[in-house]
Amino acid sequence: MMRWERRLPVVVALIVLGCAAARTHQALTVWQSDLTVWRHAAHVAPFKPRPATNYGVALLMARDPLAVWQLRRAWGLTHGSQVPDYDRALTQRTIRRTLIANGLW
Amino acid sequence: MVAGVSVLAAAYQPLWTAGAVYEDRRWLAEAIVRPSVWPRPRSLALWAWWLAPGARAAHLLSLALHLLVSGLVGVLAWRLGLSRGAAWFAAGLLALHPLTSEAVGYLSARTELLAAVGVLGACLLATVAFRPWSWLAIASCLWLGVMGKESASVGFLLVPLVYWATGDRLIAEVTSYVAALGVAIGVILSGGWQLIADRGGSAVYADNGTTVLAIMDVSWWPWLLVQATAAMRLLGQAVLPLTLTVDYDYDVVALWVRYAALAGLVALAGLAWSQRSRRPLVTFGLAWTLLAILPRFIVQTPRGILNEHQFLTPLIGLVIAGAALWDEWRAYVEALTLRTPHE
Repeated sequence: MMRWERRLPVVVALIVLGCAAARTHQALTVWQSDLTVWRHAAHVAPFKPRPATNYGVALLMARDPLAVWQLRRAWGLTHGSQVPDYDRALTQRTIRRTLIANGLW
Repeated sequence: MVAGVSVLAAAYQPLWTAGAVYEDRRWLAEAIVRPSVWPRPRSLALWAWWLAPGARAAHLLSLALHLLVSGLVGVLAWRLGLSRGAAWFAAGLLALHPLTSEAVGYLSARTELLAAVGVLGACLLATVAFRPWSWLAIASCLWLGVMGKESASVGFLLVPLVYWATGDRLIAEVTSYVAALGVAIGVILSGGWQLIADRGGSAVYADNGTTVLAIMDVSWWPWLLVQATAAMRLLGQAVLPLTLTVDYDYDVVALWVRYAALAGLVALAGLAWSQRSRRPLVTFGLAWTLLAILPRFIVQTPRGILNEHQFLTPLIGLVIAGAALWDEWRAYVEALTLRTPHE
């Protein structure tokens, strides 16, 4: 058996660990702020009201003019047929409270 | 060693600039007033927040706990019979696994790290020759874990598994009975009585404009299906972590996929059982994962679908199974080397 074949398991292990480290670094860049967390979550689950709402709230906190548009979009998502009633109610309450608190309701 | 530390530092570099997110502020608000010294579930997590309230210090504490968990996994793998190289691989794999990024990067998820420390401490004590004080020490470790998070109660199931893996079948049997009793008490205390009494179901909220009223009404079959779907998704992410997210949309998953996920979990249990003689540590790892997610199928919390940081303890089993397979491959290659004359 060639010498490099003997070392193959160690080489494979190092490659796996290297790939894992690179992906972990990338995944952790999401956990910087509410804005980065919920932007990513809204991107992965584009039809789910909660990430869309929380992204809208994070935009509002950051005084981003896109916030109202995002919250309207989130409100629209709550009317999806697959959205459970309790999710709809909770999301609508969050949006309503956020807009009232910021004088936009 | 220097290379390993450099890789770890590079992987976790984003934590240096990370702030507090989502539920972190609620924890901080609770911890800002000196928390009660009376030990109760999650009080350890509250003390940790009180100890390190700043974002950077808090992230460093979470990272230190994660490295401790990874080290304990390496020691456990070695105590269970893996080679030193495979034990290092197991520790490194958990330390760098992307699926743990939520448990480390999300400060509120530190509870899972504390729970894992307690569970691993108890499991390591179970690898030591049995002494009368062992059970007291194991119970203390599990209580320490529960002070991090209630999920550490899975240790009641995992400690007998460790006794089984170390060949102590009699103690495994005795502790299994104790575990069954512990789980029954845990289920009753944590609200699982609703399922047993057939009174449970998913939460229904009625918005009257100012408040949202939560009414517990969970039917257990949809609960089982959605948790199985989440478990299978996370098992997939453990192998190929491409779509990590804090809030996956399970509502859009088709019903047949949910049934397939449940069948997949049953098949995994069958695979674990079939390997118990030939590859006992693979059986151990898969059984660890399945036992660690089991309480999630029983204890119902509204919309509390198994998520990435809750998968930290189950992931430990997969890591040990993976390291065991890697160790077998390495031993096979070395045996071939001994048989084949050098060229």
